[in-house]
Amino acid sequence: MIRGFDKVRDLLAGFPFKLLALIFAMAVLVPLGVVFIRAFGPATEAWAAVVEYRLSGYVWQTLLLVSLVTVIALVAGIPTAWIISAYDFRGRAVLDWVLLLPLAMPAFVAAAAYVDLLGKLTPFYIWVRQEWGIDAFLRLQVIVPWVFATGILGMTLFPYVYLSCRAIFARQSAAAIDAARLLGESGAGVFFRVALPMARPAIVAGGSLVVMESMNDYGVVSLFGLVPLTPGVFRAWGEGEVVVAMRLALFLMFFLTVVLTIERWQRGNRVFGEGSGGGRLMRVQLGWKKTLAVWGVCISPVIFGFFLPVWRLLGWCWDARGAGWFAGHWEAAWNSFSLAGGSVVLLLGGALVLVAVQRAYGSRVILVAQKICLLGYGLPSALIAVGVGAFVVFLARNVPGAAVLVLSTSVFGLMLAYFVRFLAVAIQPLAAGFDQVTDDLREAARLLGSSRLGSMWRVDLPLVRPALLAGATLCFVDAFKELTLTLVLRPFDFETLATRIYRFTDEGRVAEAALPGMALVTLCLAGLFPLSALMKRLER
Amino acid sequence: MSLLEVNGISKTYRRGDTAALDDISFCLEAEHILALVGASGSGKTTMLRILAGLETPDAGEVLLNGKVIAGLGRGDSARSSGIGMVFQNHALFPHLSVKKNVLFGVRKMPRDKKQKLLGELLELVGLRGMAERFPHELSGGECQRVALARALAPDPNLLLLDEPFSSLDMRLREAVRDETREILRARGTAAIFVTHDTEDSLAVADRIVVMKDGRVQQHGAPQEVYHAPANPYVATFFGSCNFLPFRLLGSLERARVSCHVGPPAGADGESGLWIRPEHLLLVKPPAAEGGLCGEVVRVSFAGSHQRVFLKCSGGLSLEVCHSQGFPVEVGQNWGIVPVRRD
Repeated sequence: MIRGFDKVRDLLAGFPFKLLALIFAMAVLVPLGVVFIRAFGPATEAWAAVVEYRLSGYVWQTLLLVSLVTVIALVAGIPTAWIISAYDFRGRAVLDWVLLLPLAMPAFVAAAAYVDLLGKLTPFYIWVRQEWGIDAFLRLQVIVPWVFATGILGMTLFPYVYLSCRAIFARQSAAAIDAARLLGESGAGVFFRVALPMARPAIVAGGSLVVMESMNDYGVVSLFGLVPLTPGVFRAWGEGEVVVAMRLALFLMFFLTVVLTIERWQRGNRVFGEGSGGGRLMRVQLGWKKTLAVWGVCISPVIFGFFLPVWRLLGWCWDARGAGWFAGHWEAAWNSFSLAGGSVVLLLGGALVLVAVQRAYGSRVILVAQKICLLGYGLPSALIAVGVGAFVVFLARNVPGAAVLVLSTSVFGLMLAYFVRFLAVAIQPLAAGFDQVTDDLREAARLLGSSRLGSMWRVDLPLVRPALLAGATLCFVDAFKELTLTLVLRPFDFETLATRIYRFTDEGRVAEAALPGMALVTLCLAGLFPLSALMKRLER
Repeated sequence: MSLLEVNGISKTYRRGDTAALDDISFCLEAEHILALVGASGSGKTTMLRILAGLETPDAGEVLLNGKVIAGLGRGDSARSSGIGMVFQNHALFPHLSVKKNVLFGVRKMPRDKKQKLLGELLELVGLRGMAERFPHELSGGECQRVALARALAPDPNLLLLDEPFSSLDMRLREAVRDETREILRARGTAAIFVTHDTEDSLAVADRIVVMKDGRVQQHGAPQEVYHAPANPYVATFFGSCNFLPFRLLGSLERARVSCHVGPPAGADGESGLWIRPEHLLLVKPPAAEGGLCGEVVRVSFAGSHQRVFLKCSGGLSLEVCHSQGFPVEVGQNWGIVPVRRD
């Protein structure tokens, strides 16, 4: 009897928060649900046409794009991570920082800096045609955009691999690597026989992020005329073929699920490494010849992924000085800021309910909701975009008074999409922060007379403030530079800096894209500080 | 009336598992210190957490000053009933200064009174002038003292300490242990502390509750628990103890043995005597016809005495605490007789 009463009271504790958490989980599931329901509805002739003429192209282009980008990112990311972790040389600290810079370069901004080079290749084409004939010339015209697109994506995304490998080289395999060195293994031998196999889970983790980002990319591929699945979804959506768009989105979903399953499975395999801590890796001192070589290896991806685009963008900014300057961009900038700011408030609020309140009440309901919300990050952008888009239209048609949601002034759909996509970005640093607040501290506070929420306020929140700040910055930057969702879901005539950059580049007005592009890069750079601070703390 | 009464507390974590606590009862007088002793997994920490209101028991009740503070359906009421706790790793709030840590649980008190209380407590634990320090600037012993001051600040009726000395190194440990005892005595605060260290419990506690597998094995004063253990487990838990089966003791010896401890039964039911190593003497081999003899297999030096391990006839192994000065070496044969107690 009394026991039953206890259970009921436990269930009721924090009830409003549990309800909120469930609502968040529902929100994350909305696009997926909508897409599933609509995609399995009756097909039109358009679907048959797409299957016949376009589908195989979409699929092989997606697979080729993703594999090329991932290979480039791995080739650039793993050696650099090893060099920074295992060697000491002049300028190591500088490189340590410089290697993060491409994170501040959204791929479509880098693309803006490269896309005009395509036109400047004409003399090269002519030379190829004269030397090798018409076939070589035609083939080259297909290959060159691929080289650019995959190169740009690879060079801007490789820091994901770099970061995850660094963390593991620096900490987890330190003892084993030291042991290998003491057993007389040389530098390369240590790398291939010990470090690389041990870093496999980290490589897979970083690689799967690269896969996700390149699969979700719309800006770069469409600027270079590639048509993998994501642009395919938007093309169908633009043509009004909702069912086709949703079915294509499900294809994307399938590929991503495969990748994430592999990642999960690898993470499950991470039995070695964990316990073998025992201090940091001892760094080997390098002479000046090797230092030079190492600098070359580390700096070249950054040159292509950051310095070269920045240099070109700055050049155009300089050329355009005086001429109205930022005048045309103010409105877009304001839109970007308010959208990103609003998202941060929503996302952090949501993450706090899901993480903090879960800790306070130890509630399983909220934990499940939290797991569901983390799924959002693994959904393809294209799927979120069309799912939310269709949902908003559905609301407007069927719920009285909701028509205002689709009016040109409403950013409801956009906010919902950001919420689904980036909630995980807010949850993860916050959860890591709360992990540092042990149950002991919470219990001590409660035994000293604080209530659950009181101890949250007096003990937990002050302790997780750095994590909160990091989460806020990451969310802000991510929302600020978001392009794919924004292009589809923005209200009519509503522009953010990102969409403006894309539009100008697409229209061939790259010089005009330079200024908003640099603004975006500068802001992302500011966002790197809390990120690297977080990294440092995780490494300790 | 006892300050604290624990009546028949039981707790099972998962249905079907063996009970973490099985019908635990004991009581505590005002101003006394009680030690809950047991190996890990014995349920002592669970018991402490129930007293603190951090867990609810499945059956039984806890009375503090005659009022039920924990029992079925009582939830968190222990928190409002004046029970303080010192955590194993101190659980100091890392973002708060010593002052704010100590005063965390003190509310509704005018500022000057708070200041006075802080001064008193810091004086008591010997941390005067450290009010503005932060936990990371303190040594292990200092952290322990802050934790103690923090738990004492709301003036609890009963203080709980969870393995309070286990995170300190050996030398510090003894000093902090005696200090803590003095502080509790000075404040007249009753306390219960959990430990797996028998030496800590013997040195600090007025009463000892020995637990094993969720049950109370013995409840008594330290001298009682040491000299008159209730069963073989308690006998061996508090320091090494030899078991001499009657079949190996001559009838003569049997009559002489007055220094045995505990019940006349071994762990496997054989009847015999429990004797601590310090109650055995080494004598010249032909000392007693039919008496106990053994070959020395190992000798280890322990400062004030030597621990001599012997192998006797009948497969019996004995430990003798040898402090008589004459040399003993491996391979020698010695007779073994109990100390005569007058």
